[in-house]
This record gives sequence, C-alpha cells and structure tokens, in this order.
Amino acid sequence: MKKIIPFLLMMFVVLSSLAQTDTPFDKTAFKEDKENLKEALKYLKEGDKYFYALPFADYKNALTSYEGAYKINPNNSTLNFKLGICYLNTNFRTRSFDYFNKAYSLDKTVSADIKYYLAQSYQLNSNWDDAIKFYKQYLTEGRGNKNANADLVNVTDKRLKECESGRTLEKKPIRVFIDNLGNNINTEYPEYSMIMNADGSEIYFTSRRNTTTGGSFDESNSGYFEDIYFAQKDGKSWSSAQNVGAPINTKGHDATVALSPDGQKMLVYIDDNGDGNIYESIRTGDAWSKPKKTDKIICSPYHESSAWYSNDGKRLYFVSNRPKDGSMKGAPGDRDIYYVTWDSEKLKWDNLVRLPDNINSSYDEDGIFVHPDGKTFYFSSKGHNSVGGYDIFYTRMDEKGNFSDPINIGLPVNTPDDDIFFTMTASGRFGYMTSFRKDGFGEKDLYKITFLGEPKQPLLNAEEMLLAGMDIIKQEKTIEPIIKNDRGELALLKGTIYDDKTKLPLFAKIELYDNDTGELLAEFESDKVNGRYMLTLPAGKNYGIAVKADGYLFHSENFDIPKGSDYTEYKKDVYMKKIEVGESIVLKNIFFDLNKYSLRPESKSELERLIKLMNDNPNLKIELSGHTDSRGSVALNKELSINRAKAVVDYLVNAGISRDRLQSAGYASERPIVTDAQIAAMKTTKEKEAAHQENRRTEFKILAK
Amino acid sequence: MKKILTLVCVSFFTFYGLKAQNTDVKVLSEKELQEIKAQQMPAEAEAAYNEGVSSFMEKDYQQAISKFSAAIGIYADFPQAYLNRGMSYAALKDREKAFKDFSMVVEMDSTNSQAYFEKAIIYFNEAEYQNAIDVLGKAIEVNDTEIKYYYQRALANFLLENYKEAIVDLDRIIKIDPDFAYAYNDKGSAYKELNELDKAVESYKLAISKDKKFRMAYNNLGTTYRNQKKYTLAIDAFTNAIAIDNDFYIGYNNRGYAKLENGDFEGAIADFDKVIKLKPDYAYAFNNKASAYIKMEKWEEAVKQCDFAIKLNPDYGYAFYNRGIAKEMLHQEEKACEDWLRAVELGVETASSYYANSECNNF
Repeated sequence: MKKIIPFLLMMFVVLSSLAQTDTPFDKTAFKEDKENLKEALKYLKEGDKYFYALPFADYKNALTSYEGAYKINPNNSTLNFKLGICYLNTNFRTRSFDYFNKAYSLDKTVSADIKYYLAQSYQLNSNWDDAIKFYKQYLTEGRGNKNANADLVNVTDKRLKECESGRTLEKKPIRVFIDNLGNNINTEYPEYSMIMNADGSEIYFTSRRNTTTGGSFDESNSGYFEDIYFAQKDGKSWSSAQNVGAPINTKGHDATVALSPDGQKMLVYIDDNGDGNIYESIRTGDAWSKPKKTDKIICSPYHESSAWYSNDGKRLYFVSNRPKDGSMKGAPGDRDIYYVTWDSEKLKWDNLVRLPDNINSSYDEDGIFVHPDGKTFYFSSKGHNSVGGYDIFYTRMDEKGNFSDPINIGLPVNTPDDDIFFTMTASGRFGYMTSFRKDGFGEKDLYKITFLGEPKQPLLNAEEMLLAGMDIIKQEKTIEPIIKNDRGELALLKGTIYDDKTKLPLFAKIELYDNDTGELLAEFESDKVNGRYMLTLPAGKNYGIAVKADGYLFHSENFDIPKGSDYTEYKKDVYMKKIEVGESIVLKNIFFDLNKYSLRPESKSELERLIKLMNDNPNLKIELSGHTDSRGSVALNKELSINRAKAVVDYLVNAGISRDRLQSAGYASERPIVTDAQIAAMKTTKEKEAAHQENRRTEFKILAK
Repeated sequence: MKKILTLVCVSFFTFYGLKAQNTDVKVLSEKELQEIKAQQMPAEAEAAYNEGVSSFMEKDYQQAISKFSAAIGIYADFPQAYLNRGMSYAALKDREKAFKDFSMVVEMDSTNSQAYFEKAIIYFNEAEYQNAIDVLGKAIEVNDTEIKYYYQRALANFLLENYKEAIVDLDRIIKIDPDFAYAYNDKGSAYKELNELDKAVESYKLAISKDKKFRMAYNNLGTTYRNQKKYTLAIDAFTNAIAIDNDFYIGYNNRGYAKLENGDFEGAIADFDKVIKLKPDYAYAFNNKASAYIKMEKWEEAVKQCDFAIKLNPDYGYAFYNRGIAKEMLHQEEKACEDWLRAVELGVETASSYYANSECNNF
C-alpha cells in the first residue's frame, strides 16, 4: 500500500500536466513557430469576416477558414466556440457538440451563453439528461447575467420542454426502418419536399442540383435554384430522377408542395420575389400545364409555403404566416394552417378557416399532408411536444370535422432537428421524409420509412389430452391475435378506362356515391390521354361508383369498405360499352335483403342512373336478369333470381318506364362469371367468397334501341 | 367336469383405468351359469362356443364367427353366442352383421344392455357420436347403474361439443363412484372447452386429489392456468406432470409455452430443446423455439428454427407465419410476404392482415 500512494500521486502530476489548457493565438504560445501563428491568424481573420458578415453570417465559409486555424491550434476556447456555432448553422449540427464541449472544458467562461449552446448540442445528440442539466444551469445563471443573450434565455424554457418530450418519447420508440432512397434519387445536392400519388408509384421532389433549369446559382442562400424532379417505381426500385421541365420548372425557385391522391393535380411553390405563393398545375397524360396561381384567398401578400388537397378534393389546406385575425395588415405572425373550401357554383376556393388552437400552436406549423384515408392529417410543428425544431405530428378528424389533439409521430422518425415534408402511402406502411443523415449522399436526402407497427406476436402450438378415457392428443386452440390497424383503413382503387371494342384509353367521369345515404361524395376524371384513374376509398362506407362517358352505357362498381378494414389495393380496368343491341352490363349497386327479393334502399342511386339511361334513350328496350351463386337449392335460386329481376322491373315501371320496354329473366347460377371449377381452385376463403359475390348479380342487356 | 362358459367382452374400457379398445374375457356369474344350465344346452354347443371364445382371444375372428355360428346352429336360444359373434363381426368391421346379432340378443333378452353398449361402441369408433348417444340411452334405460355407459356417452357428447350434456353424465358417474378420477378430469375439460376456467381448475384439482399420479390432469390444469395467464401456477402444474413422467414431451412443450408467456425465454428454449431431444420430429417444438427467439429479437435463430419446423411439416402455417415475422425484422420484407401468403393459404387468418398491411404487392 505504501508503494501505491506515491505512484498514484506521480500519475496525477503527469496527467495534470497533459491536460489541455486554453492556448491563445499569440506569441506566448507560438514562440518558436511564428509562421504557423501567422497562418493561423490569417485563417481567423478570414473566418471572422464570414462569421460576422452582415446582414447574414456565412457560416459555411467561416467554417472552412476556422478549420484551417484549428489544425494549427485545436486548444483555443474561442475558436472552438466559434466552430461550434458554425456547425450549429450547417447541416452537420450534431458535430457542434465536440467543439462546444471542448470550448467549455478549456474555459468555462468562454461565452456567457456557452451552457446554452452546450445544452443545445447535447439536445441535438439526443442526450436529454445532460441537455436538461445545462439548460437549467443556463437559465439560473443567465437570468441575472447582463452578458447573456436575452433571446436565448427566453427560449430556454421551451428547450427544456423539448428535452422532457424527448426523454418521454425515447422510452417508447416507434418501430421503423429508415432507408435512403438511393442514388437514382439522391445526390450530393439537397433533395427535399417529396410528394407522391396515393399508391406511391410516382414521386416528385425538389432538388437544388446543378441540372437546375438555367443552371443558375442563388448566391443569397448558397445553392442552385430549386427545380422539381420526378421518378417512378421501377419494380422494387426507383427510376432515375428526371427534371420535370417546363412549364413547371423555371429559372427561378420552383418547389413541390402537393400532389392530389390521383396524381392529376400538383401544387407548386413559387417564390414570387419573396412573397411565396401556391400555384396549381394540371396533368394530361405525362404533360403538366403551366402552373396557375391559386385564388387570392390562398395567395395573400404574406408567405404561403405548404398546402395539400383533401381526399375528396373539396378542401385545400395551406400554411400561411398572415396575421391570425385575418386582417391582412401588420407584421406576419407565426406559420399557421388554414383551409378553404371549393365552391362548385362560383368555381373558386372560398370560406377561409384557420384550424383551431389545438392544432395551430403558438409556434410555426408547416409541411401539411392529408392522408388518403381522408381523416388523418400530418403536419410539422415546432410547438406541441416537439423534441426540437419541427417535428412531425398527426391528428385525426372525426365525423363532425373536429381535429383530435396532435400526436407526435415518435422517435426515431422525429429527431431534435427539423423533421418536415412527411408523406405516407395510402396503406400507412410507408412514409417518406427529408432528412440529413450520416449514410446520405450529401446534404438533405429523401428517405423511406417503413412503419412496422406494434411488435408482431409469434404463434405457438401446444397439445392437450383432454379426455382420460381416450388417447387423443389434440392441438390446443390458439386464439390468433387481433391486428389493430390504426393506419391505412382504406382501399385504393386504380386502373384504366378503355373503350370495350377498340381497347383504346377513354376519358370518363367517375362519380363516387355513399350507397347508404345516396350522397354524391366526390367526382373524378380519368386522364384524358391515357385513361388512368385512381380513387381512395376511406373505410366506413359502402361505395357505389359510376363511370360515365358520352355515348356509352354507364359502368358500375361496388366497394363495401367497413370500418377497421385492412388496407386493400384494387386494380380495376374498366371497359366501357357503347349503347348497342346485345351489350350488357352488371348493375353492381343493386342490393337485396338476404334470400329475399325486396330491393334495399342502398340501390337507389344505381336505379336512378338506370332510369336516366332509359329516359335519355327512349327507344331502348332491355332485359333485366337475376343471377345467384351456385350454393343452395337450384329451385330456390331460380325462383329468387326471377323475383329479383322482376323487382327491378317493377321499380322502373313505378318510375314511369313503360313495361313493354322491359323484360325480366332469372338465370339462377346458370351463367356464372366465375365457374365453380375456378372457385374450387382458389386458395383462400376470401377469394372464394369474392368470386361467389361476383356471381350474385343483376344484369341488364340491350334488346333494342 | 364342471362346465365353465366365458363371454368375450369388447369395450373401450372394462375397468377403471383401462383405455383404448380392449378384449377381455368375462367369467360368467354363478347366476348366469345356472340360467344356462337350466336351459339344458347341448354339450356340442357349449364346446363350439368355448372354441369360439378361444379363437376370438387369438384374434382369429373368422374362426370365432364360425364356431359361434356352430354353437347357435346347435342351440338357437343362445344370446351369449350371438353377442360374441356380433363382436367378432365388429372386429372384422362387418357392421351390418354385427348389428343384426346385437338385435337378436336384445330380441332374445330385453334386459341385455351389453348388446346396446357394443352397438354404441361401433358407432363411436366410426365417429357417429349421435347414434352412439342414442343407443347408449337405450343401454342406460335397461341398466342405469353401469358407469361405462354414462362415461361412453359423456365422451360422445364431448366429442360432439355437447359439453353441458357431457358434464351431466360425468356428474352421474361421480355420484355412483365419487373416487372416479377420470370423471373429474373430463369434467374439467368440458368446463375448459366451455371457457369456464375456474370450474375447470376446480375439477382438475379434484381429479388430482383422487389420483396423485394423474399426469394428464396436471397437464390439463397447467394448460388452464396458462389460459388464465397464471403462468407461475401453470409452470408448477406442468412440472408436476413431468415429475410423474420424465419423458412427457407434451408437458415440456406446454411448460416452455408457459415460460415464454411469462417472459422466461431462456427457460422456454431449454424446455423446447428437451422436447426436441425426446421427440426429434415434433415440429411444434421447433416453431415454439422460434417464437422464443422472436421474443428475444434473435431473428436469424428464429428463421433457422422455423426452417426446421417447415422441413418436418411443409404445411405448417404457424411456422410460415413466424418465419415471416423474423424475416421482416431482418429487412427481408419480400420474403416475409411470401411466408405470410403461404400462411394465409394454410389457414392462418392473422397472416392475411400482415400481408395486406405490409403492402406486400408494392415494395
């Protein structure tokens, strides 16, 4: 023991002498190395020029110079502090920690605000406990310190709340994969603000790469002018991103804002000399129209940056920093979310509404995204329980239109830095965001988030021997877990509309009805050139879909999507038939009570379409036929199909259609769409049931015109 | 020489504790003997009958039929010979002839409940449980003190999922013989199937109190506790079952399951390993071991164990389902989807939701 004590003392002395001390850039420290001192001072002077530049500091260039000085003398507290500040103002913000920490260890009084910055760099590195410790110390000391930055003192309480949120949310991180979208999309330049259609097959994003239209560099924020690029799903990967070109992209800043769920309309941000406005472009085939400024109610003299269409296209949500009182006078406020409603008579956006205070916090909101389920609304906010900067939140709109209190989407999607420009596929399985990460290609990149949901529980097997009198080993019944699907409760319907004879794409109008109420929910159009269409059908409704084109019989589809349904994607190409003798169509929205022939009220809109068709074509004579599936008694099925066809005929006669234009027939299961053999070959009960459903139908056929 | 006639009795159980189909020889009672003697049966008939019994015991049923037929040919009023011939036909799966002989017995002796019982056994063995129940009802009408009739009917009702009716018969047995451990066990099982788990536990405990070495009752008790999420009690019960029979692989598998549910994943794996040692072709153990690895987030190990399970049983839906979970977490979503799709095809409904919600058609 006696030998150990002197050894420890000696070690202490040696280690103390090795400890770093604050080394000034002067002759005292560079007695033997004047050349290096000279060079270091040159770097410092150059760095300070950028660091203290007016009206805006140029931290990027300051950083380059300061790093030169740092190579010569890494132990100067002020230089470390300035490097920390520079890093804090670049994309490499987390690196600021090393410099602030060193500055603090070299000189605890290097700045009156060093504890704030040290805390901030801890926060950026998700070290919540140390961040809280230093923020608290700064708050205590800074309040009585004239040299402390009053603005920083004032925001420290907010920072403390952010760290508390981080500490809470960190305990229950969400299960995700976060993957870079790859080098077909991302480059060394910034990519951000990705938007996509509902099925995620096409994406558009903003980039400031050197292929920008006109190739100009914007000196004011040290980057190429923004342009919009697009890419398509190419199997499992993305095609190489292409510049969308004119007329959307110009020599100025052109940035993505939103894409309608069907991908037929795009909202674009145009700088308008700093005013910042939202423009709309319409797609025809693969071409986009010249963006047109949206109505004045949206494009105010203030800054509008983000927007998104509601699922039915009847609302437009947007972000503006206009005064909250709606006066359009005075200084801008913080960024808030508003919406306007489409007035179909005046053909313009109207009725401005600011979202309630439970959504619009006293801090900035931005980056809106309305999920195709029509009720989940994502946005970014610096308020609420953000863990720092903008965080992504979601809120759900109830049937009365009230928004629930926002929920932080969680870590690790949200970080202490800005998390914004979030979009999600209709299924809720994949999200996309802009992020700056170590594995990126440089600057901001686009990332795909795969939401894995709650941990999936394994299924085990046990056996039991319940009866003593028998040697029966039986597999114990296992209760399979109920899957709670809190995202993606909707169906996506997409396809192409064709002329049945020519098989050429066709422009058609698509009406979406709520069969229970008969309400026309929304109207869509197929693409004028390629006939493509895409609809999202939020769960909770029995949808009737009517496809109409001039000179053609209407085509109907029915999708009953109950609440809590799993996400389902339907691909349905529609072949429109001309009004010609011999043509027939299935009336998919005619419903009967089970095993009865009384028409259900949900059939009304389909019957009205049929009546209109008969009235529009007074010479039309048709046969209405009933069909059943092959299950059950043949005789009963026959009787049922005859009676059901008669019920439709009676309805039409009661509506004024002459009976001599109508014939009825019941074919039971004699004319199936899917044969029993085909059904038998199907693998799942769900498929089989769908096939039987397809066979149970009411058809009409043109007998004369 | 003293004449001794024997009757062949075929039944699921002829005495408490015997299970499965049995062949037994019943020595006729003094009263039965006196009745036969009083009938002055010819010695040739008696000899043929006894030879028939010997052939039956040697499982030479064709010969037995021939001998019993010979006995009947000599002495027509011989219900025992009809009964035994009927049982010989039953052994040869000649149901029609067996039934004919049993009907003959009842016609000759309306108090013969055994013929009904044997007929019921044929129905039971052919899974015609309702017919078995109906015929057993007739046997009970004739003789309402015979435990095996009630028990057989309870089994048939149980298998038809008429658990409440089964409990009624089991209660009657308990009334006749309060120490009949099987009745308590099976009553517990009926309650378990009715999801009346507290009553099931009570019955299983009574079964164990009647027979301390009742392995099956311990196992059923453990399963019930596990369903009640009383994992410690479940583990204790399975341990007791294993203590009675060290090679009881079902007990180890069940205990492993309970340990997993209780968060003891290492302990669960140890039990599943024991099962695999005892029964290397037991696919369930591999699947369950995979489940433990999934809980431990050891995805590669989980895949490996599922692979073993699938190799043993290529139609094992749960193993595909579980392998899908592990593969998803290995970032092999496409392969996970393939597994879930296969699981759906094999009837695992939950996999259908995973498949849909994982956007398996749209990577």
